[in-house]
Amino acid sequence: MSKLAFLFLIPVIISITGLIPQSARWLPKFSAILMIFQLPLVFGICSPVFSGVEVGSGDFVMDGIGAAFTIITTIIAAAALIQGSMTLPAERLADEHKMSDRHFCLFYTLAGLFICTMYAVPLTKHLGYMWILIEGTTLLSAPLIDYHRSKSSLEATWKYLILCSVGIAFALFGTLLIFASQHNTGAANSLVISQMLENAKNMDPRLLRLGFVFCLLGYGTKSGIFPLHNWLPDAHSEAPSAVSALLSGALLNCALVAVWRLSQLVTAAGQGEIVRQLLIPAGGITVIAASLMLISQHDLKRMLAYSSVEHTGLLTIAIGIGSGQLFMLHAFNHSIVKAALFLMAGNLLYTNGTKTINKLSGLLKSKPVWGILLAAAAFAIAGSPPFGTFISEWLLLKNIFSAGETFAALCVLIGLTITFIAISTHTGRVIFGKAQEPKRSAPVLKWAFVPMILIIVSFIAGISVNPSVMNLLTYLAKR
Amino acid sequence: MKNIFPLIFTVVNLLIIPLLLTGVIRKVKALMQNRIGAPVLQPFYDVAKFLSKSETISKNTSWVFTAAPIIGLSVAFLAGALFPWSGSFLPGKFAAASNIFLLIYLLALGKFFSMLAAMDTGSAFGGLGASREATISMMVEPIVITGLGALCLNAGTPNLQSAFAGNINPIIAGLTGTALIIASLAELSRIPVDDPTTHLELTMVHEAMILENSGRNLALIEYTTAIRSCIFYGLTTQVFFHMLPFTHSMNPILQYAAGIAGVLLFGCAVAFAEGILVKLKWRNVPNFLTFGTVLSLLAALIAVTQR
Amino acid sequence: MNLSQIDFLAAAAAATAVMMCGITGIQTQFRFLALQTALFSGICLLEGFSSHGQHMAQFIILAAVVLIVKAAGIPLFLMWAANKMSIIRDKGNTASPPVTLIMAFGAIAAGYFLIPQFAVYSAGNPVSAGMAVALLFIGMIFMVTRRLAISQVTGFLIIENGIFLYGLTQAKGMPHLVEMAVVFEALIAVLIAGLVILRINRNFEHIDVTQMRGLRH
Repeated sequence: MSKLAFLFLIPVIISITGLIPQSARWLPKFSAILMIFQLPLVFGICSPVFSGVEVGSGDFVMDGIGAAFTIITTIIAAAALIQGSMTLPAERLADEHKMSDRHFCLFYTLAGLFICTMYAVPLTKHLGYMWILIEGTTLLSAPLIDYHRSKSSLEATWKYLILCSVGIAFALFGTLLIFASQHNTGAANSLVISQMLENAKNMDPRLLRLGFVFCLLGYGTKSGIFPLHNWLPDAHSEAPSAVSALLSGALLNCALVAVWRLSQLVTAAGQGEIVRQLLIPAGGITVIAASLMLISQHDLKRMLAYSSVEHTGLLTIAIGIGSGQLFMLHAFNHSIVKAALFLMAGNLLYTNGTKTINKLSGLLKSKPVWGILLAAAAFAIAGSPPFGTFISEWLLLKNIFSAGETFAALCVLIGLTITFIAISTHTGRVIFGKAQEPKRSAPVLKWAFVPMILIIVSFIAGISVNPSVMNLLTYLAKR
Repeated sequence: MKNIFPLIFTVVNLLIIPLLLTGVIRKVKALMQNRIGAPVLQPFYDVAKFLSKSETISKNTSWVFTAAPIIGLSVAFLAGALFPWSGSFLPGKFAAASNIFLLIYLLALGKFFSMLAAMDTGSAFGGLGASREATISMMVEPIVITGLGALCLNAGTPNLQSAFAGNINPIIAGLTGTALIIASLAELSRIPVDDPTTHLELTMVHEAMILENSGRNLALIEYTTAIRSCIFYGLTTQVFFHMLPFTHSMNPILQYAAGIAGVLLFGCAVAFAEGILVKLKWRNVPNFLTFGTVLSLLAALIAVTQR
Repeated sequence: MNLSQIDFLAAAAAATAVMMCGITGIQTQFRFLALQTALFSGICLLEGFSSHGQHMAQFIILAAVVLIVKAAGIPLFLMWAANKMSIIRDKGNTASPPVTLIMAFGAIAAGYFLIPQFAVYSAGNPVSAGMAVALLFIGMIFMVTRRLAISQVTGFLIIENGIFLYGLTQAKGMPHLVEMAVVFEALIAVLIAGLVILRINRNFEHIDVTQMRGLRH
């Protein structure tokens, strides 16, 4: 049996435990402890990849990109579930329509399976399985969004389910077109990427290009590329914060990994032109559009969601210029910081009972620790030094310029500037000002622990990026 | 000799079959409603009775009111004579003139005059009926023209006589035929678009339009309506016949008989449908008719692509 | 150009999809959906026959799965859900049914003219490729112009059918495992969507998506 199977061990244990309704009392803590063990386990499994050995066989192989995204998913999942073990039961008790024990445990079952599918997406080398797994993430995460059982969360769930299902259906059509484009290669048609790469030169460019367009439409919906991002702010703002962190930090990456794999294939087939022509403008426009929408947000979690749209745009450009190392680096930095921010926002939502920015003011006076953390995280997401996002955004901008994509570079520059102003203004209103009377009390230090770790990780990532790290990443991306 | 038989057939056909069809429809409908109903020949007696009665004409009317029924009947008769009642069976010079556009717009001309006459009386119902009738015609015409156009495009000629003489693509014939059923239900004021038996002013369309007519005028109008039904049902029947590959190689007399039998059977089917369907709300009529339009358009698409 | 049997069934399926756009009765819509999907099951069998017995058994199994799961199971489930919520008709939202019908016809025409872009000529049956694209468009039109959440599921299923048609007729040799997985994925998606709709109906007391605008900022 492949070593990769051990990746799924702990999420599956969580899922199975969730089937026992009696476990509602101890399941959150149990899963948090398990996820702490998952971290060294995953690093152990991934370590051979860093020395150039691929793990696994058949349709599931861990290469450089796979390892990077497995690690990101693990960190985010661990952070979400550890923080969730504190916040989820509290949120449940505070909810108007209290969730039953059975549903609460089922939530963990689905969360475990959701994490499993997110692990499997970057590992698979089979376009068919990749599609099935990404559709699986949609179906498994839709019920997670409806945790609070309110009207608005139901509406967000519906929007997410229907938009992403239709989007993913287009991706299936694209996959079929790419499959059909091998009709005159001489070899048998295949969906396994390695076999397709061998025959890439002989693929029918007409169907391949169409297939890529449809796949981009589909996976782009899932990752929130403008103007297909409609579901994203709703789902992220209505989900419980642990789930928001998972969605933003791990799920968006999954769809982008699919785009990355396809863009590699299409480039190998000699159609790299269309990858650039589609992805770079799409990314640039996404960045600009998201930054403009960021200005007019009144809701903390929606603001964070639009910031995710913006970073999706940046990652799309990274894929478009074919820079796997920056794709990995920026995905890592963004995921870590965004998860920290969502978890912080969840804490605030719980204590103040609202997400509206105007009603959250004075955090620095009421809870100084949270205030400082939120300020640090906001600076990090807006891309200021010394955090990791600064380094990756700066490198990305440099590479866009050197790739000769002036339009995209200008979009990114303007977008990042607007974003910085918008995020710092909105977050400033939360941090400073008159202190609000909290509705509910929460253990301040305990709930701040996980976001703090994440921000420290981002800080370390920011100061430790040097040429040798970049060389390692480049080496991983090429594999 | 060769030309005289078709001529006789056509004239006899136009004299007998339309009113017989009306009678058959009424009889079947009565049977559907568990009534014995009037005898099948009752429409003949009705027409004879109306012809012998004196008529009441409003003082406010002009010559249009008295001329319209005569124009309507003569135009309908001409159209009936041009129509190929069987595959290749039309008297002499009529065959060359059996053009779909001529046929359809002759019928439209008659309709135009009956609408004028309805408005000429100045009564509220006449105007209402005429406006409704015009609305329906406006939606029916694209169905008929597109459907028959597709048929003729497939046959390569606008002449119905030649189109029906050859083999027609069964898919096009099926689509056009179905569209024509929908069109004929609306055009001939039958359920589910209009109820020919109702005398509730709010719902009637055709009956509202001819409310002011009496005596000789009414007889002519009834007869015109019967001929028009006969032509539309005949058209639909012919189109459906040509879905079957063997029909155009049949004996002409047999073809003719099959055509007439088809019209009468079609009448029975319409009566049967009227027994089980209800009238649509006026607002939903466009929706119903658009199905016909789309079917004809599909037929046209296939015809265009198969050229 | 003569239509092959497969092309004819594909065109018939596209025509049923067009008719669905004009139908307002929910139950009738589901019947048409079932009919449409049953046609795909027929295409599946014909494909099996034309493969000269090589993969006959696989195609028969696939046809049976499609017939049972997609043509019978899903419409029955949707009918049950609609009955439970006592929904009778969906009158449409942005465009009235006649307009939608004409748009759907436009989709078929567009599909036909897109054949050169999408068809795999070596696989035969090029018209099926155009009809698959047309089904995609019609599904989108259906989803956009309808008012009720349950109709959006119907539109999604039309899109799925179009993709399935393309996979069946153009992408020859597609692993049957993947196709089966796609069928079951659709089933699960519909089940989840159905349950969410039932919850929406309970919480909002309607399933009109145009009335659900709590989240627009």
